[in-house]
Amino acid sequence: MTSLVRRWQTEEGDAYVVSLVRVVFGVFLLYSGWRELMILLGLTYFGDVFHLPIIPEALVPGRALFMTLALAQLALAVLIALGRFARPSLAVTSVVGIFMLLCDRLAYHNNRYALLLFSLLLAFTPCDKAFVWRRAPKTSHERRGPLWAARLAQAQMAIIYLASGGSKLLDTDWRDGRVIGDRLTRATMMAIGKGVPRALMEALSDPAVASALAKLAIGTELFLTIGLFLPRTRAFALWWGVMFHLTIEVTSQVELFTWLSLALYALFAVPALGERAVLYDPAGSWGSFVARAVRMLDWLARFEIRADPGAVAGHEFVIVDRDGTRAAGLLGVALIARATPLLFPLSIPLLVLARALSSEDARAAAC
Amino acid sequence: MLDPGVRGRTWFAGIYLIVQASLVLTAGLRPDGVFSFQMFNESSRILIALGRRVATPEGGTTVVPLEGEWETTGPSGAPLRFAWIDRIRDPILATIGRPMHASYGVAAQLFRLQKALDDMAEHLDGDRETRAIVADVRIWQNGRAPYEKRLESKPRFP
Repeated sequence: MTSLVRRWQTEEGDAYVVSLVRVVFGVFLLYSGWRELMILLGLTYFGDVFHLPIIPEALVPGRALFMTLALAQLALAVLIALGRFARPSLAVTSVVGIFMLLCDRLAYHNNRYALLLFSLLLAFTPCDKAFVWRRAPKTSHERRGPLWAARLAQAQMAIIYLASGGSKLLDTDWRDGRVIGDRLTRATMMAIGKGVPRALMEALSDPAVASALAKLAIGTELFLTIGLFLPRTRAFALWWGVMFHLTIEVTSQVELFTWLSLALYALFAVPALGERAVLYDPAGSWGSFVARAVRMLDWLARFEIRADPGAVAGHEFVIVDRDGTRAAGLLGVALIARATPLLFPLSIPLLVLARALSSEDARAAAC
Repeated sequence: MLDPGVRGRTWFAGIYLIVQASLVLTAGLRPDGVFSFQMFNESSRILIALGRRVATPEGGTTVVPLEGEWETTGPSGAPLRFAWIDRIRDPILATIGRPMHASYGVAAQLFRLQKALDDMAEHLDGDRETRAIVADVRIWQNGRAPYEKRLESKPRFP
């Protein structure tokens, strides 16, 4: 335990990924600030009508000051996205944003609060070492910095899962499937109205199905609390978490929470870059296509891409995984998917399919 | 300040985690559970029906149903118009006579509604008839059969 704490206190690594997360957060904060500004411009100022401040009423600013704060938030979001004064901007935007949340609990939303908490934690990471507007890229060595706050952000993610899953576990209505069942029943009526087959919707709204789904949701959140941190389960936990959040996104209105969670999942990636390789034969069209596709989709810079006809041993491309495992064909595509955000949802199905097929190609590729 | 030493990091992380854990563990102390990440805690719905408590000729009081607006005679004898949405703009609380999803749960919405009733009652300048604002709330708690609860603002005058 002591060594774990010591490692957390002193860990350093490449700040490439955390800088990329910062850019995404800049965009989120810009969107959030813009929405706040539109509300302020379009409606009666909340302070002039019924509102529920958490701070003393005397501290709730008037319209002009609140508008100034909202505009300042927008300006800070631009700086964060560009990487200029990004860390102080993250800290200030977080403090100001939480103050604005405290002015009216009617405007409180978990996702907005989470965005501000993670912004605060990002401010303590070396997130300004890459993706900085009009600044030449740094080398991997120059990008190194302490990652303790990135680990704290991971812990915050676990707190959210634990709080959400734990509260559902302690709630009989949730455990028994009553909450999900009621949501599904109401969605059923809407869905049937939109032409979804009645039989399918009736099956989904069956109390037994609802009960199973409730247990699955609770189990998922509690599993993610731990699974994301264990090396053996991390890849599956990330995939399962992505599926979980995407399901929530298409069935509920959660503002930015899905994209916020998915962006933070990048922090669970190993900080070191280029530990995997794509070796391809430039004479082959499929190998060249795979190399081009990986160049476009490798946002986390996981791969070193190399034209090396001698190393692909008769295949059009070969993937060399972090542990040195080599794979081609479908298994190779699965390994690419596992390390590229956009293809990540396909990674487990592809991996399962590749292994289940046990095709001649997959077996021969496992050199 | 954003680059604390090892000691500073440890203190920061310790305080941060204690604050977050405290906010989660004390969720039950806040009716709307703010800062505690209780996502999708209920699927409940509420339907708000409004009324005004006014005096009767017999010396008692009665509750007159409202559609959200009412008119009284002001001190100068001129008619005065009031509307629930003059003060209450929250999309859930401002919806009268139509079931709405009780975001963050029934307890959260009843807590907010009580505050809204009190706020409305405090902002009826010139209304010498309305003694209190009343809300009869029909509640479908997680899909169960509905039940009703009455909330009433603080009395405006005896």
